[in-house]
Amino acid sequence: MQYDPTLIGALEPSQLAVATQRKLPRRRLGRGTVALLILLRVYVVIAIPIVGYAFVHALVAPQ
Amino acid sequence: MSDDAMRAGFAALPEATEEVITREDLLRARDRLQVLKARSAKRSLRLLWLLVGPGVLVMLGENDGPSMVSYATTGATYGVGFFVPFILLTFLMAFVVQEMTVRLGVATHRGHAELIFQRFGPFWGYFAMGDLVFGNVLTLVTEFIAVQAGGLYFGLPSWLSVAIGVVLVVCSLALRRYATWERVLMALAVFNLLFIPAALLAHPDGAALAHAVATWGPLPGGMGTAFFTLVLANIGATVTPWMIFFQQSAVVDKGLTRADLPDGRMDTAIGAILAAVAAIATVVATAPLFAAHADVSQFASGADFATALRPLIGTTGATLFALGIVEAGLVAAMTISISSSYSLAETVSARHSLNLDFAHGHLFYGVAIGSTLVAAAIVLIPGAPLLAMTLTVNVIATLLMAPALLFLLLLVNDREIMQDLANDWRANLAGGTIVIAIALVGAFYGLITVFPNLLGK
Repeated sequence: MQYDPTLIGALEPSQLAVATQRKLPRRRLGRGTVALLILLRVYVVIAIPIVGYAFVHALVAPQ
Repeated sequence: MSDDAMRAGFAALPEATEEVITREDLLRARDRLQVLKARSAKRSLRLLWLLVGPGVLVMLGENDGPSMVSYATTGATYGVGFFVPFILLTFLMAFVVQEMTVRLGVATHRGHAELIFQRFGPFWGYFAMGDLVFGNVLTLVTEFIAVQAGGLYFGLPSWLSVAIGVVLVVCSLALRRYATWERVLMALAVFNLLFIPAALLAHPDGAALAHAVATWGPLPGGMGTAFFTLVLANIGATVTPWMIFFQQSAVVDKGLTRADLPDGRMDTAIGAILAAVAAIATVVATAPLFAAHADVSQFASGADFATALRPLIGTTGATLFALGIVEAGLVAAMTISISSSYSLAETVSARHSLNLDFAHGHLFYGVAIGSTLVAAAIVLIPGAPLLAMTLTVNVIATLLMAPALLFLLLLVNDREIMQDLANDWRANLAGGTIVIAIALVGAFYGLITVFPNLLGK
């Protein structure tokens, strides 16, 4: 595949693969945000086993 | 560019010299050149045609095997009533969510997984990826359940239809060009609309449909555990974590820029409308089973819906329904496996694009092929409870959606990376309402599962 400067001009510089490989800096999360993230993590940790229980219960329950 | 953006890593962009240009860049540039020509010639329809793709694919892709089975179960259990406007509402919700991913993609030119890792760090990144991988593997299994179920209707043995499905997924990866992959999948996704003629063959009552939309009723049987399971399954049939990851990465891979945002939104809206029509058509097509008091709890797979519908809507209608189920599974298997590829490659900073050749995309293509093979193998386990798995996967997808949406909202409000494309208060109100609603419905489902007598019988 031939390099063609005119063709590459169709891309914005920030779209080049080499540009997207540069990492963005970390963002500092506030206490409220961290609390929300933890709350939803707890929610998932509690909810998924309940779904698992419901799934198994439905399978073993007499029809 | 603002100072904040400069600090955020967009500064000192490289010169586009021959040394830094990759095959991926050249292929993307070729697609972009067509877009720029169409825009300068003010050919708006041509421009829209060139820019549609990620939105249509994500919406029709989410009308997948488990989703169509959820809609079929809904139609067979409740007929035409409450769930018709409810499905419209869920697709409106999907549009609100997916539009944010388009903005994130055009503003940052980065995928969702890499943004979470880079902005929030690996601790939260691995949680997000854990949710995604868990949900994607389960969902991919159910896509092959759909392919297998459709095959059974046509008399194909399970192993053969699953093997054909695997070969087609792998062949789609062999295209090694995003634009071609996207157009091939869009052509396949059109078959999702097969549920519309199937619905017409069920001779739907237009007045009943209009009444359902206007009144959100009837709701035969009231609000019990089965009702809330279907509410969750129908939400999970419309908004799931893989959609967020997929569309953002696809927008970046396609090369959409800020100038393309209106068409990116239009693409998402077109996809939502098409998918909503197909979903409601599925409810309508299976409504005769409700009228006939069919017991769908005994159905082993989506193929049983087609078989049970044959005496009610005819062989043609039932065949269209079975073909639709196969298409739903197949297109979703292709998009979900790529969603896993994008995200895992982004997580480990490996190259991630459908424009990569195999030599540079070992991990990217390997993840898609590996996850496809694992899912296909699980489906072939004898005696697996396939219909129960299918409905449960949608419920799990809904539960995983709340944390995924919070990450999305945090990113789309991050002004350092979004600048003027950050959420305004209306988008935050809509997004926040969706997170709270999904979390509450999920919590309520948990309560009625643990305390089944909470709502009576």
